[in-house]
Amino acid sequence: MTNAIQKLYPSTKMSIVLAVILFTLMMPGYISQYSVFPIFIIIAFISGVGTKFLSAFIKSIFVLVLFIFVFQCFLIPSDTVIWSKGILTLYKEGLEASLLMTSKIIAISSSLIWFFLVTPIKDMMFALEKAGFSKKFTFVIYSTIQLIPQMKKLSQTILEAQKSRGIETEGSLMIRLKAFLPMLGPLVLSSIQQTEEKVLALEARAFSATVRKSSYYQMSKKPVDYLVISVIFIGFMIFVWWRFFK
Amino acid sequence: MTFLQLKDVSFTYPNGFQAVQHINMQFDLGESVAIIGQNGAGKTTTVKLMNALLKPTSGEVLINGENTSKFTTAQVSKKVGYVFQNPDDQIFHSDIYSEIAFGPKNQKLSASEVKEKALHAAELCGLTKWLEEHPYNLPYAMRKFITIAAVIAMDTDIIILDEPTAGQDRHATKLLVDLINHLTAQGKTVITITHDMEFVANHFNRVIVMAEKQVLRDANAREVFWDHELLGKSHLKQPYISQLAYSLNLNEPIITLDEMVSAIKRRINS
Repeated sequence: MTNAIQKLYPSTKMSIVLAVILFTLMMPGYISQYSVFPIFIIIAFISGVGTKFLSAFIKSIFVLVLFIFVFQCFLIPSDTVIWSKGILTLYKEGLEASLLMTSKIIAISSSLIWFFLVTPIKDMMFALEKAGFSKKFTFVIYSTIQLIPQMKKLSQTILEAQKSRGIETEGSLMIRLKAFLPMLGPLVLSSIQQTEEKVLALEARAFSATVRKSSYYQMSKKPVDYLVISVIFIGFMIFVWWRFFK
Repeated sequence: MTFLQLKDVSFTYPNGFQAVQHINMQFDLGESVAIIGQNGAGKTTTVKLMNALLKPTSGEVLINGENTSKFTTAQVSKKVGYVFQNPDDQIFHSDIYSEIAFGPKNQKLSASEVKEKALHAAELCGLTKWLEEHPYNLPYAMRKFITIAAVIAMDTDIIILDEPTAGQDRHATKLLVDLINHLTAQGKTVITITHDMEFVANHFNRVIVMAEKQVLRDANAREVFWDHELLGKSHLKQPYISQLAYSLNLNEPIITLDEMVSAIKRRINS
């Protein structure tokens, strides 16, 4: 981790995310929310994770946003019709609702994707523990985050095992759905089994011991962290004043 | 006649990792073959290429003369069965009979044929008395036999077993050996990936040694386990009985306990 942004303390990076979330929710309209996305593209490239950011955004959020946008556009009726063809009618209010909702999703998800790309899990857990959260709490968070890549890998193995037994997985949506069902049992059972084994392994290493725990891994806030938090705090206060009291 | 052939096969994963390079192998029906090698040698990738879970990035895999690149894994599964290392990746039915019968059902066989094949496979794997049980009520070792039975029931010409002896006790290993012998006697080819050198020395005549993504040797077990240069290159160890024979300077390429007993008897008698 050589990048100056990546080296920021996790809570500093989280404060950026929180500021973006609050800004997104408090700011009316959608233009400023949409503008958060290109800003985060720039920040992601400066942070050294630009390509990963774009890839993660397209894979995880883009389709969802597109779906919500189209769905809302055509399903919220109003008096003002913008465009119509056959059974499809685009209403003005539907379009506005789509823009409002998707702009918020894009802004918030951009900040979260950036945060998870520039913050290693162990840094997050360390910061949470240092902030006073219990080891059990951080373990639950850690396990949940770790579960996603583990389940992805496991589902790949299970899919291969089922393909080897003659289950066709390539073709129409129906074929894919049929292939999905035999995966669920082994996936859920193996995940539960793995979690149980992990818990036992942790207990065997005195996870629940009541003594004060030490950590090999150390990190602390630097002056730049305080500077960034101060700038965010002041900037946010100015925004609140401008938005509600001016 | 060669049934399965890998011709100059190489495979590179999408992340750029090359797993096997210029592999050549051929298998006739009725053979039992062990593929051995250290972790990362390319064994699992090689067998995944055999049942079309992976398609070669260069070279070709031919089953009965037909290139697997034209077929899906599900289509190839009618000819090549693959038993995964971890049975829990495969089992999803709530009773053992349904689990075993799933493969033949997928092959669109008649109900009577499905039943016949499932019951036969269950009998071979010693599962007949537990057919109504939930698979997870059986211990890990027996769950492995459920997955083996599930593949046997598909009546494929080739059966690939990935680490079949891992976690198995003596009784289960004996059952496994009987099973392999039975299948090869029926004209099926059994290809086994294993790290268990004793198992290989005792039960496999043909052994393929892989190291660093390539095939180093394809020979009989005796030649392989007494080629110290080959074992060094592939980071493999001799079976314990061969190590003992070597340490005792018996000057005989012993690979089984029976051979050791005979050698000692001969020396005592002389």
